[in-house]
Amino acid sequence: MAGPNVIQIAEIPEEPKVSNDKYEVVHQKSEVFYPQYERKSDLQHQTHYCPGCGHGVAHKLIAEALEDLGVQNDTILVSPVGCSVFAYYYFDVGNVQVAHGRAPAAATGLKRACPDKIVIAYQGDGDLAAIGTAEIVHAANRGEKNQRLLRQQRDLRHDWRPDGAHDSCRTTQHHFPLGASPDQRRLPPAHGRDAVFPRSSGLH
Amino acid sequence: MRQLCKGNVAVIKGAVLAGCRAYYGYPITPASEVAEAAALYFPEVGGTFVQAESETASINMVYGAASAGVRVMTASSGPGLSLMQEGISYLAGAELPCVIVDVMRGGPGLGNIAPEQSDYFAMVKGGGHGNYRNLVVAPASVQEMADLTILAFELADRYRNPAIVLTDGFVGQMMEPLDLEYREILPPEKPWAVKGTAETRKNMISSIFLESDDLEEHQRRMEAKYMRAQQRETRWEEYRTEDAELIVVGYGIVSRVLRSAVDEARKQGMKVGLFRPITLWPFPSKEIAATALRAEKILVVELSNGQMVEDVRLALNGQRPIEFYGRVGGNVPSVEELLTKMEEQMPSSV
Amino acid sequence: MAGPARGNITIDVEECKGCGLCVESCPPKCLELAPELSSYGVHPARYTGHDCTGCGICFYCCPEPGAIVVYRLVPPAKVAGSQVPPGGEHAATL
Repeated sequence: MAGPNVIQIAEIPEEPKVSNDKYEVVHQKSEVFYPQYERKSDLQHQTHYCPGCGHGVAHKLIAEALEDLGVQNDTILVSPVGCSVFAYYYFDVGNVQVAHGRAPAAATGLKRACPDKIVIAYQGDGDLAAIGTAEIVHAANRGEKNQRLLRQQRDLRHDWRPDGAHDSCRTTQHHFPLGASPDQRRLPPAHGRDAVFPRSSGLH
Repeated sequence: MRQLCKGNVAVIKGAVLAGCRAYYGYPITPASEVAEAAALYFPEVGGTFVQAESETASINMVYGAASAGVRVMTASSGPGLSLMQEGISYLAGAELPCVIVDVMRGGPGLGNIAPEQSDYFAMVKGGGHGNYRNLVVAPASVQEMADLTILAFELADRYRNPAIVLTDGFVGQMMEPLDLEYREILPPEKPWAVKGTAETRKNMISSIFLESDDLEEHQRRMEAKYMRAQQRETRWEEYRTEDAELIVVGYGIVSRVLRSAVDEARKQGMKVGLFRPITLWPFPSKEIAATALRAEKILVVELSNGQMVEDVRLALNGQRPIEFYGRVGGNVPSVEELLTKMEEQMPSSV
Repeated sequence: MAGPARGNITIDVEECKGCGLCVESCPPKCLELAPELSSYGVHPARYTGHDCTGCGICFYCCPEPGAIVVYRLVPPAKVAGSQVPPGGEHAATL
């Protein structure tokens, strides 16, 4: 095993060694995602979310649903302010970026302008339940038709708004298993229990 | 067809003719009749009317509908426009066209429901954050409430920018004959819109430009279109200014009172003329400077503590003395009052 | 265990951020965080090479859209008269 001063770079594994006509792909990156993310000139293959963040899982589920239903061309995604502000770099659909908390209102205008299209307002917890509480409650009260509003439940919560919608950020133990081997205990402290993460999004 | 119509309702009649089919707003005195007329007429032509929960929500609904490429409008008064300023900044930054009507009332704060012209700074100079401009038109009659609303939609689409119809509670509430020519106006094609179609899938509406160079380039493009607007879109009216020694400047209801006062003054032999800006941004700076240079003195009258007068001073650049007269709180000066003021300010009386 | 594993996965070490959700959620526990570091300074997840059932739970736990590709063995074609035990050919190994 390499000592602490020697860093071994992992290699990209090859395709399964058994001949390919025996294995079929059952899950892979959805076509609804862009093949490359243009947010930065480098890091074009990674999302900007924290490791383990639920945004990524939600993105994946939405993309799979859109692909399975075949409605990629009919979809408009409204992205808010917050970590998911860059959703328009990831989803290859019509994208509209709006002000903090206002996604349900903008989605109302969009949906009524394009009644037979799919309008998705994607919001984080602060966007929906802090600054945007009025907009989401009234959109629901008006019964906006077929407008899907996603509440992002995340285990990593950020403390950049000191109100009830957010708690101070901490990881939960089961995200980062410790103790499988002595070498893994040398993981950087941020991977440990009860570590405090700074804001991951540069946009606030 | 000629009909008796209220100013606020004329806005909607013009909007319907302009092809506007979406209204998202919240009522507020003295602008509520705009919303009521929209609620009455828009569904009849297959349009959408939604009373939002607040002006904040309504401007963001306008943002959403404008992203889809439809002609959309809202209306409010001073307190509501303050709530909308964030949305207007976003609309300008994302280069979205829309029409916003501000029927000004007494302020600041809750103020009262009587007319004032005290939102000039907020609407013409900015109000929201960032480097942008609003295209502002100022109707002074019920006829202009309809005609300038149609113009506002055209300007908004031409420059992909919010356009503001800035009027006061007086013009909004008064009733006058309205001549409307019923014609079909087809809104232009908008290939940049996000409509949920295969062709528009790659489009994005956003005001985010994270890289400094990208944002600077974006703002330079916006600056270029504002400069084009300044060269081409100024509109104004001059009344009896050819041989005037005193030029009075006013817009909205003040210009109507000034016009009557100019007629009275002329009967008494005073050489007075009226300069009425119709577009407040782009302000007719060159034109007012040219007119002022033929005269000796300028008197600016507003229902405020002095807002448009600053633009007049900028335009004249010290070449002529400028006096200001203002009434606030909802008090609109009478013809006699302005006549007295003109007598005081006539150059030959000094 | 007889024959190849029913499933297989590849993990893109450039995209993996080393969060460990897949390691934790894998039912047969056939994933681990590699002791080496990727070029981004994290320990990427790695398939141990055996026991994968192709269930796809790791794919759904992973927050990165394209880090994991899940493969599954193509079920053997049913030849007329051949006896395939209940549960498929690999039933004895599950």
